[in-house]
Amino acid sequence: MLELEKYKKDVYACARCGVCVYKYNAWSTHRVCPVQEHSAGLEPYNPRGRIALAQGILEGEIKYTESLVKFLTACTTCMNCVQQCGARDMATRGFKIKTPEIIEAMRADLVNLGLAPPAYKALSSRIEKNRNPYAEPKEDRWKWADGLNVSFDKAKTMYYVGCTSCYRRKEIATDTVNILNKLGISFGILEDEWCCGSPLLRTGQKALAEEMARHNLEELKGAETVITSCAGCIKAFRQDYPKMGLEIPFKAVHITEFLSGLIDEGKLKPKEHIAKQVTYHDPCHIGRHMGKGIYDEPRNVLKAIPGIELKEMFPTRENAWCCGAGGGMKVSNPDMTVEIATDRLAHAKEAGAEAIVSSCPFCKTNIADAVKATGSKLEVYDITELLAKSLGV
Amino acid sequence: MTEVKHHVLYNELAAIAGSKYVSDDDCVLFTYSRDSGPHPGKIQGIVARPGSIEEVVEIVKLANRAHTPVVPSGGRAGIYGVSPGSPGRGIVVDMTRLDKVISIDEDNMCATAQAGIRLAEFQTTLEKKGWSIHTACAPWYSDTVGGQLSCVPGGGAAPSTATVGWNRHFVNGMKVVLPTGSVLQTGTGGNVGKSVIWAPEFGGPDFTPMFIGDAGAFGIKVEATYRMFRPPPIVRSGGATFKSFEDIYRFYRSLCLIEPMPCALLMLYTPFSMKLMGAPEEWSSMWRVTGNDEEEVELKLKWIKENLEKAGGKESDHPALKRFTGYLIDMRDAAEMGLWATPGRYALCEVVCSLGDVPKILNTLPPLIAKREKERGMHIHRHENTLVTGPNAHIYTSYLYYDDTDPKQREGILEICKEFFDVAASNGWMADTNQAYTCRTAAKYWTPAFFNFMKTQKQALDPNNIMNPGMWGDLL
Repeated sequence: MLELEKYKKDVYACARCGVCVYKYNAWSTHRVCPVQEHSAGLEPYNPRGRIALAQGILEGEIKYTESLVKFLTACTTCMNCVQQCGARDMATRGFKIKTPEIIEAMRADLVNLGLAPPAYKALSSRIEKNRNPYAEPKEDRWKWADGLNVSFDKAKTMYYVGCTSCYRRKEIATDTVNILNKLGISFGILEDEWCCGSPLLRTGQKALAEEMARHNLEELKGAETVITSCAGCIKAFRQDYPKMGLEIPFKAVHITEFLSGLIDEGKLKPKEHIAKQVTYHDPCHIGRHMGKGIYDEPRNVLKAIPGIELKEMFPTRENAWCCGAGGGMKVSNPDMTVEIATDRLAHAKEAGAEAIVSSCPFCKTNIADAVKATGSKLEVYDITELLAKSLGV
Repeated sequence: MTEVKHHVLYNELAAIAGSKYVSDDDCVLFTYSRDSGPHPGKIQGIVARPGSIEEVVEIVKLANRAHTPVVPSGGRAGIYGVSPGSPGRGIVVDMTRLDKVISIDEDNMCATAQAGIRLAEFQTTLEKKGWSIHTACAPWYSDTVGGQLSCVPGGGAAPSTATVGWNRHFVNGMKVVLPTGSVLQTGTGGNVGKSVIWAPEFGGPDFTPMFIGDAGAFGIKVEATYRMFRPPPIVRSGGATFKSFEDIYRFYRSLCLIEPMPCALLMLYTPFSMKLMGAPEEWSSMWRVTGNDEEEVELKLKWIKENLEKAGGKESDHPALKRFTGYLIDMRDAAEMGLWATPGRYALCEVVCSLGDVPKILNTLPPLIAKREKERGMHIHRHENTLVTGPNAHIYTSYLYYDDTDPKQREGILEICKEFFDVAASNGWMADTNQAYTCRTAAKYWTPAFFNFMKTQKQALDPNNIMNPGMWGDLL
């Protein structure tokens, strides 16, 4: 049975009205789908077209073939299409058509039918071999922690660092550890931390993702709270693992939730003045994907830093424009991801910001890539970097 | 490696629009084969997404040389089926790359945009400068300027349609790539270089209306100039419930007979529609009032309330009704998010009738539905209303929601639509869209004189019959 069959009701709930392609108004959004805007813009490059493809497959009009691959890989699964869609449950007003899940199901079918693109295969092979998507040696995972006060013992509070912070955005891991230490939080790090599996799930590679999940959960046994730096990791813990039927015996929190809570309790008071006009980029995985969305917490942290002036971009919060890196796009369509991120640079400039701040190492990487590609003067930070600076650590 | 067998015009189209924007991939063609409705799809042979008027012209000229049908495509939010074209061979011309606002002429109060721009984007761009244009109530976000002008008679009904009527009155002119590939600017009275202002027949007849509602059979619209206006600063909305149809009709009729009407929008809902929206199952009316100052708005609301009292209606503050009347402040969300998009896939039975026929039309569809429900053992959820679009033009709308996973339901819905439009046309009620199915139905009821006139015009404009052939029946 095709994975897609599980989403038949979603596919047929689509009225093909096209709001997922274009919704343009003065108060929430200017266009919806980043891939539509940065590709040839033909129908299969937008959410309505992808749902039409799904219907075609379900009706036998279209077969899973190699020609379908380029359309199914070109989606950031950012969920903005779902956010704008009018098809809602009449009673709960909840979203009816879960387009990212439909896309992931079709990608899973491609994988299961042996049609996965080389980029997906290479990704899974890297993760299988090295337990991270970057083909970095396993033994180098904790190099960034050399000289830092880090415990690899099990603790009630565990910091799940994630592959991107370990290998590509080490400053986020370092600053997070320094902040936690400064606050006197007793925490541990897993000695044998594996990839959370999110990149595999986004690209339809469920079996290996489940292996990662089972390992991480086994290692995290005994923890009461698990903090993540990465938006993708927190989605994996909170949403993806339970969907696999796995029980999560701890509270998984994103670092911004954790820090915001401490600010509210008066336990975290940034002191050092940082005179900077910043804007905040909402990562899709802690925004739209989280249901209620982690929107206020990161802003609460930023506002607590003396001297920081927060300037909102348009669009923002639940309508935020994706940075472009999600949904496996960074491996399947690397050029397009950077082009999409340049939109965010333009939004930040329009907002009058000198720095763009996010709370996801993957978003930071992609936005920084766009800065490099365009020669923009915009500074790019993770929220923990500014906080660490303000705390003097 | 398997050699890809391309459409016979692939290389020439790629040379015109760029290979990135041309595709004959089966997956691409499939996604262009259907619209929003239940009507069967038509898979053409190739898709091109041109980026300039010059490219559109070259595509049309190529289609003429190759005697290959052209099917223009806009926001793809149609509901009555896609153009017949020539399955396996026709060229779909996706116009959505032509999506720029070209000029905002404040002195002459007009704005020009490319035809592939979405109405909402055009409108929002103007709003930022304090201007507005009359676009459609729905689908505001999806419809392109070209699609709306081609496929909706009168160019659509505006959110202030009760007072301003149809949008065609506010289209100053348009630029059309004719089926032979030449470019015609209408609204200028034929004078080369004359700007498109609000005096179109000076210097020669105006052909703008000929292209409005032509279903894209007379050419491809590439630009349109709309009359701009300053939007009224005050907008209010309200709703009321009534014990019987007689009461609500008395209210509805009394407001329609006031000239000018006090409300910019007036709608009548059946009890089961209200139930579907989570409101009390009663006859209900909703209105939208606009004005330049409080005094004007209060006076209009006073008239509405007086007529409401006379008819025995009661203003309602039920949360569901309030939510929907709230949407009427900005029609975009009413149209796209709040009302009919909610329950999922649907077919549409939408026609225009006179005020006197409103009671009759409300009793036309239910027996047709009941018959099919009994025959096929299916239940159809629906949503129904009427909307005033001027003194003697009332849009009757019924959304028929169906489970598209069940082919039998889809067939049943299509049978109901077919029967309804035939009954409607025989009563003189015409569909308020000119799209594939409704065009063909309308054409069945043309007089011989009208048919011959249409045929003569089509042949003169389109000697090779390449522009949306078959839209108005087999002979056109």
